[in-house]
Amino acid sequence: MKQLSIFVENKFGRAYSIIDTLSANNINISALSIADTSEYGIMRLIVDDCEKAKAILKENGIMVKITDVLAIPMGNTPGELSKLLKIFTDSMISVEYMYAFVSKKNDGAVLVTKTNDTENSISALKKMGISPLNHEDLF
Amino acid sequence: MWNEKIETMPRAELKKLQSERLVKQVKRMYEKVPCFKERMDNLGLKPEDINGVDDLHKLPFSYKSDLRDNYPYGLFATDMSEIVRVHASSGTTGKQIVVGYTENDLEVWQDCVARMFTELGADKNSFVQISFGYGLFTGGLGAHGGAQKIGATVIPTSTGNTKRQIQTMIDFGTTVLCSTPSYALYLAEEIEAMGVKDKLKLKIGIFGAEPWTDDMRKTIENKLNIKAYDIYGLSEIMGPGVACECKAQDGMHIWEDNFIPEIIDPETGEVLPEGATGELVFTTLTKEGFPLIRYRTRDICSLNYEKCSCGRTHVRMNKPSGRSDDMLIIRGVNVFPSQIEEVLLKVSGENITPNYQIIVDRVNNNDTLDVNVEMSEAMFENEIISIEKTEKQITAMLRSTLGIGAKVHLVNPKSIERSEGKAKRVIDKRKI
Repeated sequence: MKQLSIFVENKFGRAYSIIDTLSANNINISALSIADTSEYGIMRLIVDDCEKAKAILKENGIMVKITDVLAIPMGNTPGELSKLLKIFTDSMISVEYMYAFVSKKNDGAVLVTKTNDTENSISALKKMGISPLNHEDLF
Repeated sequence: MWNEKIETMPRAELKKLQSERLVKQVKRMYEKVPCFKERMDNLGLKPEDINGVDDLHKLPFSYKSDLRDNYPYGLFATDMSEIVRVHASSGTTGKQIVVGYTENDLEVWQDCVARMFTELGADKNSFVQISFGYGLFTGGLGAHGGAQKIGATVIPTSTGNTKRQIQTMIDFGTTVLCSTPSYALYLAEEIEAMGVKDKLKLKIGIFGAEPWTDDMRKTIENKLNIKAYDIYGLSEIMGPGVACECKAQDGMHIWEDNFIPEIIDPETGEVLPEGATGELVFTTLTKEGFPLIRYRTRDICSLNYEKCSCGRTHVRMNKPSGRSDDMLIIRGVNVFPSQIEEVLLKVSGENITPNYQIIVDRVNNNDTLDVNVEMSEAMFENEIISIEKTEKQITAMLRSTLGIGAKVHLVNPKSIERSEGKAKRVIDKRKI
């Protein structure tokens, strides 16, 4: 799954101007998370058209990168996230960051995460019968 | 007076002494310093063409870049076996500049500083606390030598640890304080906060190494109940003690038996008439180890040749009002934007310097240095931790290059304001 990572200075109106740029160009945002420090943050987005969004943001002087993350389908019921994290913990995999959203298309929840070892994460998931989602699965 | 004969020497006599010394100095440097000889030769000048002070204007200028180009010892005019000490200060780029002193140079230096202490009322009964930095910086050891020369009790506290500085002032009975003016003000505020002003015996403050205002002087004088005096010096010429105020507080006497000052137009290099404001240029007359002819200080000021009410005949310079280059003085330390540029080039990960802006301010009487750096593709990573790493790396490199701390802020590309396509590199908000 492709994710947009955007550098956000901690300045009044900054988040709005980024989101407004995307909205003006008809980009649909499925999920969003912000990691912040006192000086700046990184905004992470899952959008329908990554490449277009990147080009637009870049044009507007916004620092942006596309990164690969894992998008893992899970049921929208209690205990589902716990089950997923147990798989990682049992395989000695650490989570660097994660956020989740509910998708209309697969009719359930999606966990977006970056771990310290992507390959091992995928094989651990597959062993438990779970396949990470591709961009096409969601949009 | 420490040296009444010299300090009150009639100007005609002083000029004669300067002329004799200049002729000798030029001859010696022509023989010993290849860079100087080359410049003389290029102008078709021989040492014999210089017969006194009136010929000074014919001589070539020397520049800070000469110190870098001849680093470390290329401009020294004696054998290294004669050099007993070196000092260093920041150059225009990462490399520091080095100056050297013979035994006699140190004697002359101590004599100049001794004159300074004596004219301000210090003597062998004084307790002189030196809160200038000791080390390669000339401030600490320079002031130290002169204080020792007059037989005062020297308290070499160097910089930092404010509470201990104040405790030392109280316990050791400090009567004379030497520091940067901003640190003096900081000390004064701490003393006020601690409520120990009555326990101080302080009478005289000697402050230099950075620009300060008359308002600052009054505040320091009122808060500490002392007289505050301004001094001027630069490592290239000697260090602290090149010039100093007397009790009249009306300009700093330049010790003209050792240094000839000139005021020039920084654009054309023409010598300006008496009293005009321009760039200060120094020629050292007695320096053996590291002499300089017509050194461009880049400080902008004027000279006053009138006899002073204190009886001294030596010319007085006014407080420098600015610089003819882009050097900043932050917490007493010389900082060139080019030094910061060099650091940023190293961390950018690309072959171009990221766009940056330097913001200098004075908060609670302490200089602050902030550096905004526009992020480049190579510097931006998906993880907070790697951005923080970049930020920390820049901060650490700036500290080691500049010798002072700077606060680094990573900002969006193209977010630093540009005027006519070129970014304004330095914003100095201090009101000096």
